[in-house]
Amino acid sequence: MFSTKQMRRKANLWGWIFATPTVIGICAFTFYPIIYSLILSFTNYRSLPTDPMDFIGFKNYEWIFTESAFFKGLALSLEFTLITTVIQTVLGFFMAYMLYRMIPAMQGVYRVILYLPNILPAAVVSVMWTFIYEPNYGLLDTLLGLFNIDAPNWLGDPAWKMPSIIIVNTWKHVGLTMIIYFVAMNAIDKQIIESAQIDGASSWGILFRIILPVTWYTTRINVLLSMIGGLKSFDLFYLLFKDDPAMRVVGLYIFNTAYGSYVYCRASAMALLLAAIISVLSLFANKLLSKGEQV
Amino acid sequence: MNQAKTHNKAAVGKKTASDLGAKIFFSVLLTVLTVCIIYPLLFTLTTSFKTYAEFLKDPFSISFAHPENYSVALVDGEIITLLKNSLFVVVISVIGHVLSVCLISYAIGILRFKGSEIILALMLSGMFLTSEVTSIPKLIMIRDMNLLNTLWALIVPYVFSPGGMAVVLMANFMKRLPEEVIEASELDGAGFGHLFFSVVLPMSMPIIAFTAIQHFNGVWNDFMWPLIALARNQEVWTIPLGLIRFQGMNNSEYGVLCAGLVLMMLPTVAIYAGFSKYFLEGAAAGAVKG
Amino acid sequence: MKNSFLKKLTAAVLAACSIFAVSACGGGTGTRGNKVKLEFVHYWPEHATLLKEICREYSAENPDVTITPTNVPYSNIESQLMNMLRSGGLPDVFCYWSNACYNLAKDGYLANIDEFAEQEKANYVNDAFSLEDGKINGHYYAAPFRASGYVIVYNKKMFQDYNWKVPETLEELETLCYDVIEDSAGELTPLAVYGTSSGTMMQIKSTFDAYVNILSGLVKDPAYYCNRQDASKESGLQQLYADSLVKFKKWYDAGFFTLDPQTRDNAQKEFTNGKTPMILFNNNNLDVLQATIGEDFRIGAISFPAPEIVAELNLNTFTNGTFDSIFIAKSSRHYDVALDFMKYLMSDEVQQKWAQRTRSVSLKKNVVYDNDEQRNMATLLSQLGAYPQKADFTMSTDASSGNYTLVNNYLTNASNYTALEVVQKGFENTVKSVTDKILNPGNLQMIEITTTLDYSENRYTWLK
Repeated sequence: MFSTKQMRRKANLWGWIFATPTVIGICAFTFYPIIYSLILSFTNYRSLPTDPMDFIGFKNYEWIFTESAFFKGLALSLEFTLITTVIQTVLGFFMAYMLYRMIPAMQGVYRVILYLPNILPAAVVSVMWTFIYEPNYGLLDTLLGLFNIDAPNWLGDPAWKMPSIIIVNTWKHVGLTMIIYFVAMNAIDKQIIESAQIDGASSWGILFRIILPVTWYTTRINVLLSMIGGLKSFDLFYLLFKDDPAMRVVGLYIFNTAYGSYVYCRASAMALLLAAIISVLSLFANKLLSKGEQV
Repeated sequence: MNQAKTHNKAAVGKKTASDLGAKIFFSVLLTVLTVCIIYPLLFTLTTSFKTYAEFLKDPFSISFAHPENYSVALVDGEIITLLKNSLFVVVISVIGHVLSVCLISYAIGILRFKGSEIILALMLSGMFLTSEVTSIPKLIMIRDMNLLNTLWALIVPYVFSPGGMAVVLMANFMKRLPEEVIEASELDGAGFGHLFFSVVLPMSMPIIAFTAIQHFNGVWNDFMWPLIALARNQEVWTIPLGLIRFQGMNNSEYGVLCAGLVLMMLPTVAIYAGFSKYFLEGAAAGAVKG
Repeated sequence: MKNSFLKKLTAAVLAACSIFAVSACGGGTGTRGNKVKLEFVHYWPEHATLLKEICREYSAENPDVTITPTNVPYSNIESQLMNMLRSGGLPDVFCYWSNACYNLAKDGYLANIDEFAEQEKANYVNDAFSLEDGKINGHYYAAPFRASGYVIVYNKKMFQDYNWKVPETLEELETLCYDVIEDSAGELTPLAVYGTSSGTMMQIKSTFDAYVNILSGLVKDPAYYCNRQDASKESGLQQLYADSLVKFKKWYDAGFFTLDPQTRDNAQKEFTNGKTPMILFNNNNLDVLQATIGEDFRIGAISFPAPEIVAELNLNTFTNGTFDSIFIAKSSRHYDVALDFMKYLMSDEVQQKWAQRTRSVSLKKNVVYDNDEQRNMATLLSQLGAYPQKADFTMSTDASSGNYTLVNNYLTNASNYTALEVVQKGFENTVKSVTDKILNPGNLQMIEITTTLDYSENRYTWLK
C-alpha cells in the first residue's frame, strides 16, 4: 500500500515506533517469564526467597514421567476436552442457526440471554451450580424429586462427576461458540440463501448443505478455541471439586503443585510440557480440519 | 417455465413438511435452552429473599420477604470496597490493554513493517501457554518490583500481556480496511501518527469495542491471579476473591449467599446488556474469513 | 460522530479513574512516628465483629497501637499464610493450629514465647496439655486460644424415644450402632460423617489407629513425635493397623456410616433432618447446629469413646482435634507490641468474654462457664492434646491422596489389596514423600522405632 521506497522505509520506521511499547511489554511479561520458567524447570527452586536454586538437570522431567500424576491428569483433561468440544460446537452451531432464523427483535433479546452465562465470573457460576447440585436439597434433586426420580449424587458419585462438570462448562461457554457461529452466518450473502429457498431447499438442507460448508473456517476456530480452553481449564475444577484426586485435571494439578505444595520448579516443568502438548494437538487438529475447508 | 413451476411446487411441498419439523425442533431447543439458562439465575434471585429455614421448607416458593439479606451481604461481604477495587483495575487495564493492542495491530496491519509477520506468529504461539507458565515468574517479578498486594500488581500484567487472539483479530481487521481511505490520507501528507488517530482508530471501533469487552470480562472475572498476587491485603481484593471469602462465611446461609451472588452478577450483566450491539459488530469483524 | 463518542468516553473514563486513583493507594504496616500498626490474621469470619471489638478495646488501652484484623475462612488459612510468607513475611500476629506449625517453627519463622509459657503454665487446665502441644524442640511457639476438638453429638429426643443408652466405651458404641440399625429396620444411619479424605470419615479410622499407638506404647517412642516412625520392620504393628482397617471396613459394611455426604453441611443436614441419631462434629459449631435445629430436639455431646482397656490401664484417651492458637511472626517489626497483644488475647478477661460470647472452650483455669453444655464440653475435651504429634515433613499431594484412595477403594471393594497390603503401600507412599529431597530438603529419613512395643493380645480384643 505504501508504494514508494521512501514511504516504505518511513512505514517500517514508524511501524517499529508504534510497535515498540507493546513489544517491550510482551517481552517483559510473556517472553521473559517463559524463559525464566524454562530455567526454573531445570533447578530445584521451591518458592521462598531463601530457597536454593541449584541446577539439577532433567530431574524434574524425570519426576514428571515416573512419579507424578501428570499423565493421569492429562488423560482426564483429554476426556473432558473431547466431550466438551464436541457438545459445545454442535450445540453452538444449532443455537446459532436458531438465532439466525428469528426476527431481529427477538434476536436482540435472545442474544443477551443466551450469552449471559459466559460473562458471569467462574466463581459465581461454581457457587451457583454447587447449590444446584446439592444432594437432596439442591435444585436438580428437588425437581427430579417431583417426578419421583432418584437423583444421583452429582458431585460425589464417581460416575457423575465428569458429566456434572461438563454440563457446567457447556452451560458457561456455549454462548461464545454460538455468537461466533452467528456472526459467521450473518456474513453469508443473503442472496444465496434466498435462491436456495426458492429452489425448494428445506431449512435442514440450507443448514447442512450451504451454511455448514461455508462456515467451516468458523468451525475450525471454534473447535480450536474449545480445545485449547478445555485442556488449560482448571478454574471450574478448582472451584467445584477443590482437591478431589479423581478430578485432578492437569491444569489443576499444576496449580496445586505451584500454590499448594509450593514446588515451583516442578510446576514450571509441567506447565511447559503441557504447553508443548497443547501446541502439537492444536496444530494437528488445525491441519485435520482445514482439509474440509472450501477455498 | 411451466416445468420450473411444477418442480417448485413439489419441492415446496416437501420443504413445508420438513420445515415444520425444523420449526418444532428449534422452538423446543429454544425453550429448553432458555429454561436451562434463566432458571438457575431466577432460582438464585428468589432464594436471595428467603432465610435458610424458609428455603429448606419450600425451595420453590417466590417470596420477597427478606430483602435484608442484601444489606447483610453488602456489609459482611464488603461489596462496595470490592466493587471499587474491581472498577479501578478494570478501567485502567482495559484502556491500557486496548491501547497497546491498537498500537501493535496498527503497526502490523497497516504499516506492515519488516518483521511484523514474525511478531504476529510469536503472539499467536503465546496463546497455547497456560497461565501457570507465566504466573510464577510474573509473581517473582512483581514481588521484586514491590508491587505485590497493591492493585498495581493486577494492572501491570493485565496491560502488558496482550492476548494473542486480540492482536490477531485486530491486525486482521486493520489489514482489511479499505486501502483507498489510507492512501487518501497518505496523499494528504499526513504523518503516520495522524493516520492512526484520526483515520484508523475511528474506523476500527467495532473491533476495539469487542477487544475492550472481552478484556473487561477477562479482568473482571479473573480470580486466579488476584488470589496469588493479593494475598496479604484484603482491602484491595476484587469481586471474585470477595465471593470466595463470602462463600466460606455463609455456606449455610443460602439466602445471604444468593444475595451476594446477585449483587456480584449485576455489574457485568448490566454492562453486557448495554454494549451487546458493539460486541456483536466487533465479533463479526474479527471472526469471519473475509 | 464516532470521534466525539470516543472523546466523550475517554473523558468519562479519565474522570472515573481520577476519583478512584486516590483510594487505591495506601495500606500496609509501618510505623508513623510512634504509632504502631499490627497485622492480625484470624480464621473466624463468623466472629469478625467480636474480634474487631476486642482489637478496638486493646487500642483504647494502648492508643499508639492500631490493629487491622483480617479474616479468611477456616479452609483458606493455610494458603493465606503461605502466600503471605512468600510475599513479604507472615503477619505480626496470626491464628493457626498448634499441631500443624512444625515446619514454620523449624524454619525459623515463628517467634518463641518461652517466657510467657513458663510464667503462665499454672493457669492452664489439664496439665497445660494445650501449651505443651505447641512446644517444638524445647521451645514454645503457640498460645492456645481455644480448644477445637471433635465430639459425637447426639439427638437426645431420638435416644429417649428408642430407649438407647449413651455409650461410654467403644464396645458400647459398636453395640449401639447395631441397635440403631435393628431398631429402625435399616432406616437410620447411626453416625453421620463426611468427606473421603479431609473430612470426619477418616477420623474414625485414625482414632482406631491412635489407640493402637497408645496401647502398643508407640506414643512414647521419639520417632512418633515427628511421625517418621519406621514401621517396615515392625510386622506386629503393621498387622495391628491392618486389623484397624478391617474393623473400619466392618463398620462401613454394617452400615454404621455412609460415604454420601461430601461436605460438612450435607452431614449436618442428615442429622438435623433426623436421618442419623449421631454426628461427628467440631465442638465450636454446636451453637450453629442447635440454631438450625431450633426446637425440634435438644443435642447432647460425648467424646468418641475409648476401648474399655484404655480406662483399665489408666491411660489418657485420644481426642481428635487441636488447639486454635495465636502465633507471632519472627519477622515482625514490633515484637514487643505483638507479644503484649497476644498476652491480652490470652488474658482471663478476654478469654472469659470470648467463651461467653462464642460458647467455645477456653484452656484457662479461671474461665467460668455459665451453662452446663460448655462445662460438659470442657470436660469432654480435657484430654485433647494428650498425645502431641508434629510431622516435620511435607507429604506430597500425590502420596497423601494416594493413601486416601487406597483406603476408600478398600472400603468400597474397588481394590484387590488386602488390608495389610493397603497399610504397606500407604507406608511406602509416606517414605517416598519423606525422602523426596525437593519436597523435604535436607536429609530426612525414617527413624527406627526403639521402644519395645506391647503386642499382648488382651490389649487388642476390641479390634476383633
